[in-house]
Amino acid sequence: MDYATDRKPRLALMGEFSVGKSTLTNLLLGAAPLPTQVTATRLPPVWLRHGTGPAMRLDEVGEPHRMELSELSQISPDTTRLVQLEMESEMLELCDLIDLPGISDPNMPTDLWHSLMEEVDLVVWCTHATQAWRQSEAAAWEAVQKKTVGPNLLLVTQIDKLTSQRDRDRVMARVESETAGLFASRHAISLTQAITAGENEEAWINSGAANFTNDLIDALLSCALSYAGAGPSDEPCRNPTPPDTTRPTEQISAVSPRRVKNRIGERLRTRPITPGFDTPVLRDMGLVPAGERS
Amino acid sequence: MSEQQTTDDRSDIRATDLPSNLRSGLEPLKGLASKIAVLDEALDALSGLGNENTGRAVAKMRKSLNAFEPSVTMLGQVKAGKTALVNALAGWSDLLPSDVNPWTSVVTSLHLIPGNEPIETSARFQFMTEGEWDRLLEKGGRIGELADRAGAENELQKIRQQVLDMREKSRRRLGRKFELLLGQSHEYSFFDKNMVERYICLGDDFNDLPGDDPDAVDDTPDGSDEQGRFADITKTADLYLNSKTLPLRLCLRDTPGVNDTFMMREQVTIQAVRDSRTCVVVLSAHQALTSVDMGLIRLISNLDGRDVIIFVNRIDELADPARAIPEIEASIQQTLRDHQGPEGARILFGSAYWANRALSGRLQNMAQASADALLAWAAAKLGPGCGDLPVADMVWELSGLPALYHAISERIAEDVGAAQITKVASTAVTLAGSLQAAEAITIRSAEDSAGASASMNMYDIRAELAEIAKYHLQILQNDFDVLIGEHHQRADRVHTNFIQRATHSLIAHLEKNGEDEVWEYSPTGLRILLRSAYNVFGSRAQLAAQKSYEAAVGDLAMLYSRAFGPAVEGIEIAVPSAPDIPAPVVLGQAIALDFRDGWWAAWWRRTRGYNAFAKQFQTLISAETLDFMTQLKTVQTGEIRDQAMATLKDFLEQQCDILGSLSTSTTAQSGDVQELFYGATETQRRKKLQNTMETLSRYAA
Repeated sequence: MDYATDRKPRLALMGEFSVGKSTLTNLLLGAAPLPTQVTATRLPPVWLRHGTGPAMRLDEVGEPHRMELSELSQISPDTTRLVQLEMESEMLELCDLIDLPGISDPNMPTDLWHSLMEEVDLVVWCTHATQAWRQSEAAAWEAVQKKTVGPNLLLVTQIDKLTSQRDRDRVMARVESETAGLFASRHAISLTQAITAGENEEAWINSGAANFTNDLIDALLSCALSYAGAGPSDEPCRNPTPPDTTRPTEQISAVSPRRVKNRIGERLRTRPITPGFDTPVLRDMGLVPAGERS
Repeated sequence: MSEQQTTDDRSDIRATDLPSNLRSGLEPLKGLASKIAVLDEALDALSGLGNENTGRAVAKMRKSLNAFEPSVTMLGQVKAGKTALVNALAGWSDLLPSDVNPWTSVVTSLHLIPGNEPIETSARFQFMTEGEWDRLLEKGGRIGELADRAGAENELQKIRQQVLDMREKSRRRLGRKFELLLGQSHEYSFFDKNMVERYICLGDDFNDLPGDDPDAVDDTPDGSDEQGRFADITKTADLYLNSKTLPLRLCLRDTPGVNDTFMMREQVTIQAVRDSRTCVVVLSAHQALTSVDMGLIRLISNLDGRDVIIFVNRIDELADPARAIPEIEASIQQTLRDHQGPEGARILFGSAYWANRALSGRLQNMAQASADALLAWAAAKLGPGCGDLPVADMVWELSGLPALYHAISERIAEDVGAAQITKVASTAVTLAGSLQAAEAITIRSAEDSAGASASMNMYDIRAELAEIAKYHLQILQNDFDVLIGEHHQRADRVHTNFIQRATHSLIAHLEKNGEDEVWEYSPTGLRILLRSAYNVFGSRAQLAAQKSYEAAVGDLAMLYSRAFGPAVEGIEIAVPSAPDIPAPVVLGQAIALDFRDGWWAAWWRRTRGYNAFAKQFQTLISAETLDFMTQLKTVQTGEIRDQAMATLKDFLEQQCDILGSLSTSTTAQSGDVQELFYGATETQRRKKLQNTMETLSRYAA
């Protein structure tokens, strides 16, 4: 696949550390390439794109090196500026996914993601339900938002830690009020429930994942449209080595359910995203509901 | 319903459910309490051995001993669970209201008093003064100041808007009462939940959810306004209540969270750190030690680098506490080490949620995830022998509250507790010494009634004592003027030097890297140098005070000797100890250079051109450091001087009292000395005095 001409929207997952960004990445991919743990995951930014090429890392000076996926947990942000992974995930047919290191981690330099922000189109900002939307987030978002073209989403994670519906409503009401005008939409999700939902449709809906992924896909589609017709982009992280087809993606262990994948599949089954889409066609296909956000 | 009844009703109803190990962890505090009891007994004995003057002095000491109330302040980010933890420590699970959204906007002090004695005033709410309001409006707190100087117009505007909105809202709600209330305080002989909410809960504006408040009463026309009615103008809240478990008075202080988007809360809390000796930083287990927590810990350890207690709350929300806790602990330790955090900081884990469940006897219907976590933690933490414990006791133990109480108690006993005992005991030793001296005078007049020692009359002695006092106070004042002047010069030199070096580095950076790369310069050097300047001042100040005290005591000894002759020979007058030098807390204050992201980068981006950089940088840093330079140069040094002067003045006044005792002894008892000297009662009295003196000396050491 030629990255230079096929410029997909780039979706960044951001937020404070330990709010579940890596878990969310794994959920969206329907696979678990990223390590998750109870303390901060100290990885450099991870850029995931569709393909079967080998895992690469860019060192401090931007020199690419091949790496094994199993080495991921040993990668230090001190010596690696960026990790590039290729996977055959349906989500990645729709967009490139960039998992950024969490903010407010005293052990991570803050400039790690500043330079990458220029490459990002839209952001899902994750915030932990029990301590949602603190000043450190509000201040960081103020700086980040300008660099995006949106539509950006706010995702309140671990909503299951709030046990009553009233509490959830109150937190969401406050977050809604405090972030008015800052995000295109806001969602609450229980990542634990979403991951364990299996084929249980009701559990998937109850976890908040259904609404969130629907909105996210709409956002990505609208973003893809704005890129339609754009010239070759200045892809900064082009993979210098040809895709290595001998490396099977199966080594990335699958997590159940592959619901995100299914959902994207439903929407994309008949048409892959390519430049040249126009709105009426999409609307006819039912891919963008009429009157939907832009 | 009075507060008294509330506690009693509650304990009666739930007596059977309550954990029986609520005193677990309080042992060090109990040890301190028994020491205080022994000391108090000795004071009581002393009071009966002297005259009226002695009685008055002892009464004062006992009052100060009984009023001793160490305080513990809970600090942490917004929604870390500070309020729930304070409630659990107070043994009353729903005492202070807590909510899923930030509510606490006032520093709330819970004064726990052992026993069942009725409390006169149960609640006191202090409102802000006009000046404090104006300051909020003009400056918008410290972060507002930061924003203003860096030109982050939006942020300052935001804070201003927050403050204006808040003021407008309370003005609307309170009408013309608004102006009248400022600076006032409200006191009550009881309190209940609604009252507390009215004063300290700055409720949110999102109350329009259907069926939001099930407790809302319909008879108030503006029911939603009732809650938090005074909260936005309340400065502090003090609640007084009895505790059945504590051996000593204890004040638990709950603070608004830091890192709240309502930035005034952070400001309120940072102010509270300055008044607190013992601080507990409360973290939420899901996110170990953020940069904001780290800043808070630095601020506190600057206050007292010895020991910071970190309580990682909400372990009930961990899926597998047994596996996660060691991992979180290692991560926190590592971060503290990597960032020069305080050494040997205590890190404790627990769950205020579990503790409050145990306290309220609601162990059955816990949230499933929380119950699972509890079982997993129990399996890992409790040995096989624990199966016999009642469930409530086990949960209380696992909640981490006993361990937290132990850490707090230990800290109090070693630190403020020990200091309080030594202080009172030393004063008492001096007083007891004067009684012995008075006795010696009596003996002297008995042996030689013609005694030539009356060469000075009382009037002369007093005049000379006044002269000595005046002289030494003046000398000490002069010494301090010189010391403070030198300190100013030293601090200013360090400051100028730092700005010069930083500016050079800035220009070098610009020449080398241009304007696009953000330049960083650590203010650590400035802090170290200022701290050492302050320490130099501190030790010189102590030396000067000590010298002055010794000289004063020397002169007094001469005076006594001339006035009373050999009768006072061998009597020791204790030299007061020089004041402690408080830690330069103010150095912990964050300045522009500490902010590695956010507005520093924004400032950088906004500034263009080499000259502009250097000039604006100098202005910025001068303005940034103005507050702590003033604090360090003028405020803290002034406080040390005042304390040193006060110690000398108190000491001299005490000597005046002693002189009073000496003179009454000679005149009143010279008549029937024989009887006095040989009488059985007197012998016993002297023996008693000797014993008391020994007890007191043991504690004074």
